[in-house]
Amino acid sequence: MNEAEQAATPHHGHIPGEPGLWVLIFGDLLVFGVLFVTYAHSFVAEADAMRLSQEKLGRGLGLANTILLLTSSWAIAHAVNAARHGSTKARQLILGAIALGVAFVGVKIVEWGGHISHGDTLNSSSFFTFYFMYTGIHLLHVLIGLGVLTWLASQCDRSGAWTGSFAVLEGSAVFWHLVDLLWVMLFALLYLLRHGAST
Amino acid sequence: MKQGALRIGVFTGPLMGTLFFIALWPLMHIFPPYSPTLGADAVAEHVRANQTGFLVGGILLMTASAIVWPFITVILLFLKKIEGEVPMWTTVTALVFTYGQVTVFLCGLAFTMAAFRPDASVEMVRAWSDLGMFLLVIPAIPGTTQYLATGVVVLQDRRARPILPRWYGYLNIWVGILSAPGAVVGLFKIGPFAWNGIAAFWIPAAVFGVWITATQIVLLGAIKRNALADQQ
Repeated sequence: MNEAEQAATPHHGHIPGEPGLWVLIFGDLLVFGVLFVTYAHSFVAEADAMRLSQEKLGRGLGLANTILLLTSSWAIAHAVNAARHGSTKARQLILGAIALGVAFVGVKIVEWGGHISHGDTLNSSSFFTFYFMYTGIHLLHVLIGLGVLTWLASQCDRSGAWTGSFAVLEGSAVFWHLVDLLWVMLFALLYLLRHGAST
Repeated sequence: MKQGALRIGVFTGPLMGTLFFIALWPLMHIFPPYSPTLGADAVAEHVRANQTGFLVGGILLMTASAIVWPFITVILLFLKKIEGEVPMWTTVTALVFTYGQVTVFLCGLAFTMAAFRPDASVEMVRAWSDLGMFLLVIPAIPGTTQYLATGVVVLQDRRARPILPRWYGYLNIWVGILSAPGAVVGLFKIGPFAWNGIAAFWIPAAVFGVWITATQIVLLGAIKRNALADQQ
C-alpha cells in the first residue's frame, strides 16, 4: 500500500482480524516467553554441556527455514492486500504461502532426521530436549496454520478472488505472522545465540 | 428456560476443581508433584506417611470425575445450540470429555491402589503411584482434541451476536495447544518436560485454571441473557 492509499484508508483504532483473536496471540507469546526464559536459565546453568550439543546444530537449514517462513509471511500479507483491492491474485498468493509453509515442514523433517540418525534424540541431552520440544511445539503451530491457510484457499472463487469475510482473512494472516515471529525467536535462541565462554 | 438448573450445572465445574485440589494438595501432598527421579523407598515412604490422605484423596478424585457432568452438559448444550442440526464437533467434544473423565477416575483408583496395602513392596507402591502421576498429566492428549473441537464450534458461529463470545473460541485453541506438552512426560525424568516440569505440568495446569475460570464466566453470561432461547 502506498502512502496516498494509507492516508485514504481510515485505519485509526482498527484491530487486525478481530479482538478475540488477540487472546490467542498474546496468550501464546506469554507462554513462549516463559519457555524462552526456561531455556535461557538452562543455557546459563549448564553452559558447557549445552554448548557441546548446540555446536552440532547446522545453521544452514535453520536459516533456510527462516527465509521460507518469512517469504511465506510476505505472501500472505500480499494476499490480504490483494483481497482488500478485490484482486484475483488472492488465491495464488495463499497457495504460494502454503507451498512455502510445506517446504518449511520438509526442511524440518530433513533436519530432525539428520540429528536422529547421528544419535541425538529427544532425551539424549538437555539441549536436544529443548531443541526437539520447542521446534516440535512450533511445528504444531505451523501445521495448524497450514490447515487454516488451506481453508482460506477454499474461500476464493474460481477466478481466484477472495469471497470470505475480510476479518477472517486478516486474522488468519495475523496468526501466520505469529508463527513466523516465534520461529525467528527460536532461530535466534537455538541456532545463533552461543555462550560467551565459547572460544 | 431452566436458568436455575443451568446455573447449578455451571457450579459443579468449580466444585470438581476444588475436590481435585483438596485431594492433591492437603491430602496427598503431591502438589507440586514429587520428582520422577525420587527413589522407590522415598515414594513408598511418602505414600505410607500420607496413607489416609491418599485413600480419601482417591475417593475425592473419583468423585470429582463423576460430579462434573452437569458442568460438561451445560457446555455441550451451548455448543449444540451453536452447531444446530449436525452437531459434529459438539459430539467430538462430548466423546473426548467422557474419555478424559475416565482418566481422572482411574487416577484416583491408581493412588488408592498405591496406598491400599502398606506392607506391599516399595517397587509396587511406586509403580501404582507412577501410574497415578501419569494419569494426572497425560490426559493432556485427549484434552488437546477436546479444546480444539470446542474452539472450532465457537468460531463457526455466524450469528450477529454469537451464542458464546469469539474470544472464548480462541482461548480454547490456546489452551489446546499448550496442553499438548503433557503428552511427553513418559520420555523425561528431569527438566521442563518431566511430570513436575514447567512445560509439561505448570503451563498446562495454569492454562487449565484459566480455562475453567473463563468457562464459568462465559456460561453464566450466556445463561443470564438466555442464549439457548436465542432466535437469531
